Amino acid sequence: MSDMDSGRLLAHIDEAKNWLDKAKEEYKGSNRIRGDLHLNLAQAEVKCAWELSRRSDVTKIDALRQTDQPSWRQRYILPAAAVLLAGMMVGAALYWQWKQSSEMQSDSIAMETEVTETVKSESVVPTVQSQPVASSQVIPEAAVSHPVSVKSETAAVKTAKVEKPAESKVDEKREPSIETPRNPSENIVPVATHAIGGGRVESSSVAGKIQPVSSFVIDEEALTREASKSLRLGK
Amino acid sequence: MIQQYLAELSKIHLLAPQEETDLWHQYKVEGSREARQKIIESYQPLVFKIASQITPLEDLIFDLIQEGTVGLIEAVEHFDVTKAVKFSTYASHRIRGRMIDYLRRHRSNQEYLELAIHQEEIQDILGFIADHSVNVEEEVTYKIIHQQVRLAISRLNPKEQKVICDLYLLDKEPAVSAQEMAISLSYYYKLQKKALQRLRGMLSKLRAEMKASG
Repeated sequence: MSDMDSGRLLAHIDEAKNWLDKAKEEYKGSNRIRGDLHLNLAQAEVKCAWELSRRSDVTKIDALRQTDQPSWRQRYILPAAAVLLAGMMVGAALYWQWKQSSEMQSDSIAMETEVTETVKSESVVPTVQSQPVASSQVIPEAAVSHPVSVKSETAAVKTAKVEKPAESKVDEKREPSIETPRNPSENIVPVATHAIGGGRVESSSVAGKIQPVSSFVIDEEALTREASKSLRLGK
Repeated sequence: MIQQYLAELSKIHLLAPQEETDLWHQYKVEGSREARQKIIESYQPLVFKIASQITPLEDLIFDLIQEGTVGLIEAVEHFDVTKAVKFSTYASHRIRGRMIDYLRRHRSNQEYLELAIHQEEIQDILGFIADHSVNVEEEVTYKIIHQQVRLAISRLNPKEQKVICDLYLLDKEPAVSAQEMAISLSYYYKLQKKALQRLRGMLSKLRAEMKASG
């Protein structure tokens, strides 16, 4: 309540007291009607004071309501931040998903190629097995695939490594890959050649580099599993 | 009971124009509480008069008097002596306004609310022709309005004419006027309401012109 309102309220109370004193005097002097008139005035003063007090309360409440109410900035900043955060999360999730799928795609391509290579090498095996191979033959890198991810294949290669003759020059440290031979002339595993040759290696240079087939152990089950897995992934 | 109050109110000393001016000066400029009390006391009959014009019901009259007295106190506090408005005119609006608010809050008194609203709407015109202290500058306006109001009143039936003249031009008490006409007080208020309604319609153009001219 302002000082002015407070002063007016107190003035009304004083006036009410004054009218009450006058009414009291009139009632004492047996002038009832005049006493009633003064009492009426006292009541009106009290009512004025009461209304003034109530009005200031209402004003106070209104003022409080206005201060309590957040401004439009305060009202919208939280939802806006929430929407932004949600958008960022969705974006991140989509990016992660995309990244995952692209990784899987590249993996599966690699796997598919490996499987193809493995299948190729597998198809070489029976052909070569029938050939008498010199112990000094060297296994070309491209002819035998060594995928790291395919354990069974690696195991097979390991077996081959153990059993290969001492002269074999397989570079074990090299990453097993889908690499094509550096020198095309060294590519000695043309399956067609073996097939055409009726199971015989015609070229002496090629035959000289081929490892004895009996030293290879192929895990067919593992290969099938890998192939079906990559097919399931749709790659 | 009302008659006793009216008898007591008639004993109240009415202020002479110069005395009133002095009292306003003492109250508004010097802040005299006694001057304030004298002004309020001397205008108490106005509250009774307005309340008795609205209803004949005794209980309701006392409620209206209570509300009207609050209006009178507010009018005394807010009245601006520098403006060329008579205090009685200003106070009448505030007193009747409080009474109308009271009647609005108490829906059972709808009939009296309508009457009070009619009175409030044509109060300016009726008050203007009842006011004999018109100065020379206002003489022309006064004559025009007086003519139109007289013409409108002449179109009312004789009973309605008497009610309006007694209440607003001669300041008679409703009970006294009803007694003179040998009719019941309730019938008197019905006549008053009907007459005010018709006057309101007839003077609507004049009221609009008065409002426009300020």
